[in-house]
Amino acid sequence: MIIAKALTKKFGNLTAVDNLYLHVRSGEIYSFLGPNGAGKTTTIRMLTGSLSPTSGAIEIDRKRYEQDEITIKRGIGVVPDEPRMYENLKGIEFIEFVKGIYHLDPKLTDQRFNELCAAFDIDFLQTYIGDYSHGMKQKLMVISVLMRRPKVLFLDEPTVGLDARAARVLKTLLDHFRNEGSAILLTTHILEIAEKMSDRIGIIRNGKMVVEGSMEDLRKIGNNQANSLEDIFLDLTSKDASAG
Amino acid sequence: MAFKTMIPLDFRLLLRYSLKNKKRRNKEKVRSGPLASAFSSWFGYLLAPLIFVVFLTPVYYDLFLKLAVPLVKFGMNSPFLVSDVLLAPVFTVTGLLFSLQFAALLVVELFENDMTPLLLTMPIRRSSIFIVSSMNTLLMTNFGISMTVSISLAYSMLNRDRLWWGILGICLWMLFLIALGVLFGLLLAKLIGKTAAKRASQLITFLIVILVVISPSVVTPVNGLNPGSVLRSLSGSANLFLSSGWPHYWLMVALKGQLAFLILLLAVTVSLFTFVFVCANTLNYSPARKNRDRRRVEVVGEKSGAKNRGSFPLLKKELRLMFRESGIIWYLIYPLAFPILLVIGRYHQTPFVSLLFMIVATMYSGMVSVTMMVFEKRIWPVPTYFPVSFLSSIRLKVFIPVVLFVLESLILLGLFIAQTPSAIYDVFMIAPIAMILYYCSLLGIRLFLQDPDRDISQRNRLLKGSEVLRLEAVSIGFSVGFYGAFYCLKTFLIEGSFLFFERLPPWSVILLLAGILIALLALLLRSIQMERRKIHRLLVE
Ligand SMILES: Nc1ncnc2c1ncn2[C@@H]1O[C@H](COP(=O)(O)OP(=O)(O)OP(=O)(O)O)[C@@H](O)[C@H]1O
Ligand SMILES: [Mg+2]
Repeated sequence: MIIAKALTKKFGNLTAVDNLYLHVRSGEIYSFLGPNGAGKTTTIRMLTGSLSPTSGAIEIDRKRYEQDEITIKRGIGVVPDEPRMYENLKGIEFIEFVKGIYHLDPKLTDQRFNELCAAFDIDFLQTYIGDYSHGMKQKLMVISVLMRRPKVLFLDEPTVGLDARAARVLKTLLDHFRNEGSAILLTTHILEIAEKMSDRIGIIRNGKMVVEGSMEDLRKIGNNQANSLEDIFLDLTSKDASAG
Repeated sequence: MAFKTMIPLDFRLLLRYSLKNKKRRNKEKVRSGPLASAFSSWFGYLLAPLIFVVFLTPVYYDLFLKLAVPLVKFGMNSPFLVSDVLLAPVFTVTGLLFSLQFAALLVVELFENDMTPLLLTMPIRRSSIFIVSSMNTLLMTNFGISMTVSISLAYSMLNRDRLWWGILGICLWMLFLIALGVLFGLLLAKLIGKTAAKRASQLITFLIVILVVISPSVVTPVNGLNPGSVLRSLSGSANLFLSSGWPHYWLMVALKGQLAFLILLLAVTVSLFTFVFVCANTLNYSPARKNRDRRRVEVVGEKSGAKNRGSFPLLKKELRLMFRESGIIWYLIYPLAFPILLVIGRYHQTPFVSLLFMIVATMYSGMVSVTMMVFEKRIWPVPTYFPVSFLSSIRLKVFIPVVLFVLESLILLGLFIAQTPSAIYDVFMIAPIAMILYYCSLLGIRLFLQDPDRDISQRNRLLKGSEVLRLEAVSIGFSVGFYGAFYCLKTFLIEGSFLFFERLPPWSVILLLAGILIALLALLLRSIQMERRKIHRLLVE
């Protein structure tokens, strides 16, 4: 579903993403890990059509941004790293806006929306987004994406700001979506989430993929007796580890 | 140097930061005189109120001159004039509204400035943040400034031999009002939250506009009546408003020559400011969030579900955001309110008013478009995830202000025609006005896009000074050119030859003026074409 080939992004003379190959299949949760500034957000922004790559090819559900930008964007769901929404809209008005621009079926969406509101304990939609806390904004952003049931999902650190209950609900829902056949790419700094939830894990450093595979694969690759994902991660991303 | 050491360092740094338009990319430019660029930016923003002051002051001066009848003439034992009695409440009301508007805007500035939360975590005195915000706010109160300045300026012009004292008095008066506004701002900031403050400032805005539109029609009938009979009904108000407890009374008396009252005004202003400084240090910048409207969501879900899904979500969003942005409301009301005031009061002839409207409306259509761009910039890159092309979103940001200002010009035209039927020929100006509006909006958007890393944390300086001046030059140039040529042509055709045209044969005059109009039109069309191409190119990158 999500395919990236030789994906590269340069900002001036900084290569933020360097010749990256990525393949996320449907019915799979792929965790994208890496230290701060490794290029995770940049990769997601390219994959979601928000940033054009310097070179390389992207394919989402067999379509390319060059030809079907709007169609792809209508089909995918993106939870960006920061929940930025129009501060002068009320929560409900933002939801209405999303329903409108994605041409969603009102009845079906409303039903899912109400379920999600109950699940995430959202009761603040009548107030302005500008008055929300970070976590409230994140919740709104998450449900505005999940209520669309997208087949392809990108989530950039989705649990940041969420309380324990909401984070649990989100994890359960993602699991559910995966079982229904969605392709999910998520980044996180919480290794426990990656370890427990994902089918495959990719670790990047300085824009290059360092290692990729299931938890079992990673255990085999990791040096000596490293057995938790944390050990492997710290080992592979430490300064003196050979990159690539 | 001595001046520099008098001001605390943190304050100076803050001011410097807030004055200069931060540019991330070319760092060399920042070093080359941030203060200079800041002042050009200030000038750019103050030009609009300046234009109003220039138009309004003679109006008030004329009014005061007509009413400069001593009260003694009517057997009242008072050193004042009829105009004083009528003016005292005007001073109070405009001053009070200016203070209130300033206060409401200040609260918005304090809570909306994206830097405030960060600055608060730094070892900077709260009072410094507060004062710098106040200075930024002052730029946005252009309506209030124009009113207060032009009234007091007209008043001091009555005593021309003491004009410099008068100007000093006006400065003090403004300072006093600002101090009062800051005080109100402090109270507001303590009492209400961010969104509530925005609503309050909008409410006050509407109040001022209504007042501005109504006030001349209340004052002007006095012109025709016997001042004596009016006086009787106003003697009560004289006792009330001309008592020595009022600050505006001190100003009025000082402008009449009793300079000692200036010292009183100064003393009160200084003590107010001192009080505010002390209070500002204890100010809590994050008011308690009041979630009054916590209703269950299900109800809402059902309601919105009944709505048609395809009902122009982009347009709806733009309009909602637009009318919730106090800055935009100003830009929309401003060009209409003043001409209406001038037309209803019959202060100016229609050509002046039309030109005034054209200049201000075109200038502001650019500013409105820029402000609407900020909606997206603020949540960037989220808009790039929406399944709509950014170009279609930009198209709305150009067309909405154009349509609204064209509607305003139609309203004005209706008023003009009701007053002077020959104004019907101004119908021909609608098309050029719409085109200039369109061009200014495009220009605003292009300027904004050209420097995508601009600092938008400060609402009142979205464009750099040079960019504002550029927009103003375009708007003034095309407006004056079009309207000038059109007005000459109209007058020539209706009333016959005038001025130096008398020396030319009639056909050549018509040819000349029509030629100018056509050339301007061609230039405008070409410029529009070029701007569109530039925007396309910027978007592709
Ligand atoms: N618009 C931009 N202009 C210039 N450089 C950028 C831009 N966006 C990102 N970068 C650079 O690209 C690199 C990768 O950034 P990115 O945001 O992708 O990291 P990340 O893996 O998401 O990090 P984090 O875990 O902190 O979110 C960084 O060095 C960053 O400075
Ligand atoms: Mg990131």
